[in-house]
Amino acid sequence: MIMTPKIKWLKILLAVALCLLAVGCMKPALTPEPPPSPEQPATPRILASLQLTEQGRSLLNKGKPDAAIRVLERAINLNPGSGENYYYLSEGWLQKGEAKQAKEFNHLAEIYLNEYPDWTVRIARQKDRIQELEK
Amino acid sequence: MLKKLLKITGMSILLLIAGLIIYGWYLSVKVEKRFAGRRWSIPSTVFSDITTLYPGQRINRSLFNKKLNSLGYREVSYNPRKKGEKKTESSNVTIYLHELKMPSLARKGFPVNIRFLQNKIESINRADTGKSVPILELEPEEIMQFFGPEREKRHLVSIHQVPEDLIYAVLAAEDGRFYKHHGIDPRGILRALYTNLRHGAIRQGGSTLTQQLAKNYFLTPERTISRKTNEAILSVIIEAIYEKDEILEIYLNEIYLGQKGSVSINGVGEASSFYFDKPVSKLSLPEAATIAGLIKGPNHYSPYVDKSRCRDRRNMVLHAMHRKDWINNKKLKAALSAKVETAGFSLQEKKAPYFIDYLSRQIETLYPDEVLNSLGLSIYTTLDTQVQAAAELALEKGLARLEKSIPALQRKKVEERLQGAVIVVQPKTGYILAMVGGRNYSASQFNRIAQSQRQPGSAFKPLVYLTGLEEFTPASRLSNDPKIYMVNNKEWEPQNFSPSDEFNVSMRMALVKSYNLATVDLAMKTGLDKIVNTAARFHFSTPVKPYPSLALGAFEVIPIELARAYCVFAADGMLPYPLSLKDVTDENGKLLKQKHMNIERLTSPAKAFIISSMLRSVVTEGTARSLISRGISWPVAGKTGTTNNFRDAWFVGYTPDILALVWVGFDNGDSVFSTGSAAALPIWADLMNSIPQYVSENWYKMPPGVVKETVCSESGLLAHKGCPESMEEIFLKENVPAVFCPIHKKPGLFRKIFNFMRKDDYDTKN
Repeated sequence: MIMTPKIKWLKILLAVALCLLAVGCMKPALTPEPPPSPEQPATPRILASLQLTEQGRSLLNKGKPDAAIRVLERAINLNPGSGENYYYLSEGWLQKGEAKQAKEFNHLAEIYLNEYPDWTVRIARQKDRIQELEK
Repeated sequence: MLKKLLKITGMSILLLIAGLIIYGWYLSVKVEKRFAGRRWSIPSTVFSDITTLYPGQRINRSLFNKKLNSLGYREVSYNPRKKGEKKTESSNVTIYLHELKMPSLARKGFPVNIRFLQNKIESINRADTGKSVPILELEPEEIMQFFGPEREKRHLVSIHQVPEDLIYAVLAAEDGRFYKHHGIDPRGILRALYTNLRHGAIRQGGSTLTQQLAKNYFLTPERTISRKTNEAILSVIIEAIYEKDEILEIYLNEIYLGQKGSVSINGVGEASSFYFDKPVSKLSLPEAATIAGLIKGPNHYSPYVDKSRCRDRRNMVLHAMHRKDWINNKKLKAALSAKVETAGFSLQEKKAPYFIDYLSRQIETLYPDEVLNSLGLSIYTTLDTQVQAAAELALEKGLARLEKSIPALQRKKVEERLQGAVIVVQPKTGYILAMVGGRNYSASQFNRIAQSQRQPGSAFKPLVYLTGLEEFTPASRLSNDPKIYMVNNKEWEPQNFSPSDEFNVSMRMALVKSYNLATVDLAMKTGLDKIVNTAARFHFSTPVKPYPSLALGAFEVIPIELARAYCVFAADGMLPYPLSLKDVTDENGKLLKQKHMNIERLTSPAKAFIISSMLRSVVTEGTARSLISRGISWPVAGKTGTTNNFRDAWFVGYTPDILALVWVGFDNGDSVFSTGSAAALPIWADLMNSIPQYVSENWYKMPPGVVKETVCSESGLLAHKGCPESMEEIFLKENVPAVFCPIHKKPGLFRKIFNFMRKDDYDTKN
C-alpha cells in the first residue's frame, strides 16, 4: 500500500505525540544524578562511606526507603561530616511521608553543604517538598 | 440362658467398639489439634550488628580474630574450601564467608582474602576471582536466644529441602518399610523380636517412624503396656489423617539429634548446621548417613564425642541403604571411605549481658515471652561485639589498677567491690555500640548505665555553659572569687577543687579548668531556671531543681541520659534516640519491626560547635590533658566529673565518630579517693586505643553562625594594638564583641608611627 504524504505526516505526528505523552507520564527519578560530591579528603573511611551513599541513593531510586535509610545510617557512622548522606536520609523520610525527620536531616544537609551552590539549590527544593508534605 | 449370655457378650462387644470409637475420636481430635497448630517452639535469636571492613581501615587484630572465632570461622591449614573455614597467616587471613541474610542486606558466602599492613587492612580481595572488594560486611553475631522451658534449638525444613540421601538414610536406619505400613509394622515387630531373642538382649526396636513420632509428641517415655497401646492407636490415627510425606517431614523436624551445652539440637535442619555448618539441602551422602545414625543415640554416636564410634554407626547406615538398593556400590564405597569431618562449635559465656537486659526490656514491650520463646524471631541490634569486648576489658583492667594503687578501695565481699560502667554510642545515629553495666554480671545484674542514679558533678557543667551561650561568649569574663549564696535561707559557699589565684577567668578557661566558683557565677548570671529548662529539653528524667549547686551537678542523673546529652554537642545540636534494637524478622526473614535513627534538634549547630571547641580545650590544656600522654593524639572533646567526697568519678569523651562515658564508684557511695581524671579517664583511653576502627582523627567543620575574632585575653573584648596579649576566639555570630578592650590603652599616634616603622624595618630585613 502506498502511503499518501498527508497520512504519513499524521502518523509521524501521532507517534511524536504518543512519545511525548509517555515521557510526560514517566515517573521522574526520585534522586536524579547528583551534583558532584563535595571535595573531601580521600581517606579510606570516606571512600567506604561513599560506596554506602551510592547504595543508599540507588535503593531510594528503587523506592525502598527503609533499606536506604539503614544503609545511609551506616554511611553516616563512617563519615559523620558528609552532607550528602543527610540529604538522602531526608529523601528517605520524605518517601516514607514523615516530614519531621525529613526536616531535621534537610537542616543538617544545609549546614554541611552550604558552600556548594548545586547542592544548596537541591536542598532548598527538598525543603519546599517537605513543607508541601507538612501542609 | 445362652441367648442372654450371647446378648450380654454382644452388648459388651458393641460397648467396647463404641468405647474404642469414642477413644479413637478423642485421640484423633488430640492429634489434629496438636498438628494443626504450631508444632514447635523456636527460640528467638538476638544478633549483633554487622561488621564493616574496608581497605585502609585501622584494625585491632586480636579483637578481629576473636570476632571471626565468635562467628564460627574455624582455622584450617589449607586454603579454605568450605563456608566457615579460615586460614590465618602473619599478614593476611583467608576466610570462606558464611552467607549473610538480613532485612536490608544479603550476600552469598565466598572466599575472601584480607591482607594486613601493620594495624591496617591493606586490601580485601575475593580469593576465587582476585577481584577487589571495596567494602565487606561480616554477618551479625549470635548474642543470645530466648529459650522456652524446653531449651530446644531447631531450624525448620520442608520435606522438599531434604535431600533424597538423607531421607533414605533415615529410613534405612529407623524404618525401612515406612512407605509400606500403616503406622504399625507387624513384620518389623516380628523381626525385632527374633533379633532380640537371638541375642538375648534388646538389639532392635520394632517402632516405626510414626510410632516414634506419636511417642515424642503425645506420650511419656516410660515402657508400659498401656503406653505402647496408646502409641499404636495414635500411630494408626496419624497415618489415617496425614500423608506419608507430611509425617516424615514432622518427624525430621522433631527428632532429637544432640546437645550443645544445655540446649538440645532438634530436627535435621539444626543438626546439619550444628554438625556440618551447612543447610540440610547441601548434605553429602556420608553426612546424611551420619545424621541418620545419630537418631539411635545422639550423644553416644555424636562425632563430637567419639569419631570412630560415629563412623562405625554411619557405615552401618550406609550398608543398610545399600542392602535396600538405595545406593549403588560406587556410592557406598566412596561414602565408606569418607572421613568424619565436623564444623566444630564452642560454648560461649553470656555475651554483653547488660546490653541484652537493656534490650530485653524494650523487646518485651513489643512481644510477650511466649512469642519470643516460640516464634523463632531474629532480633538485630546495634551492638558491636568488638567494642563491647574492648569496653569490658578496659573497665576490668582500670578497676583492678585502681584497687592496686589505692588499697583502701579493695573489698572482700564481691557485691561490695568497686564498680564501674561504660557506654559507647555513635553520636550522630544514637547506635549503642557497647554497654557494660557493671564489673561482674554474675555477681550483680544491676545495670549502672541504665538503672543507677548518680550525681554527675562537673560532668554536668557543659549544659550550664550551653545555657550561658545565650548571653555570654567563651571570652566572657567570670568571677572565680569565693562567694556565699543563700539557698533556702542557708548559706552555701562553693569551693574550687583546688585553690586558684585566678579570680577572673574567661568562660572557656572556667570550663577547661572546671572551676566551680566561675561556673556558679555563670549559672547565677544566666538564671537557674534556664538551666533547669535546658536539662528538661535534654530529656533528663530525674528531678532537677533550680538550686545554685545545680551548676556543679549536685543532683542525680541516669548515666545513659548523660551520655545522650553529650551526643547533642557531638552531633551538631541534634539529640539522637539511643538505639539498641534495629530490626525484627520472623522465622522466614519477613520484616516485622524496624527502628531507624531518630533525631531531635535541641540546639543550634553553632552552639554545639562552640561547646565542642571548649571541651576540646579541656583535653588539650585542662583537666583531661593526661589523655595525650595515654596515647590519644587525635582531636577529642571531653569532660571529667568528680562528686563530693569522691563518690563518683566520670569521664565523657567524644569525637565526631564515637562517644563513650565511663563512671567509677561504689554502689553504697563510698569514696573512690580519685578524680574523674585519675579513675575514669584512663579507662576511656584504654578503650579508645583498642578500637582504632572508630578513630577517624577528624574534627568538626566550623558551621554557619560561628565567627572567629581576635580578642584581648584579659578583657575578652576586641583586641587592639595596646592589648599586651590577644588570642583568637570563636563566637556566635550574634554575640561577637562589639567594643574594643577598655582595660588597655590604645596606642597614640606617635606610638602607631613607631610601631609601623618597626614593622616596615622588620619586613625589609626578612
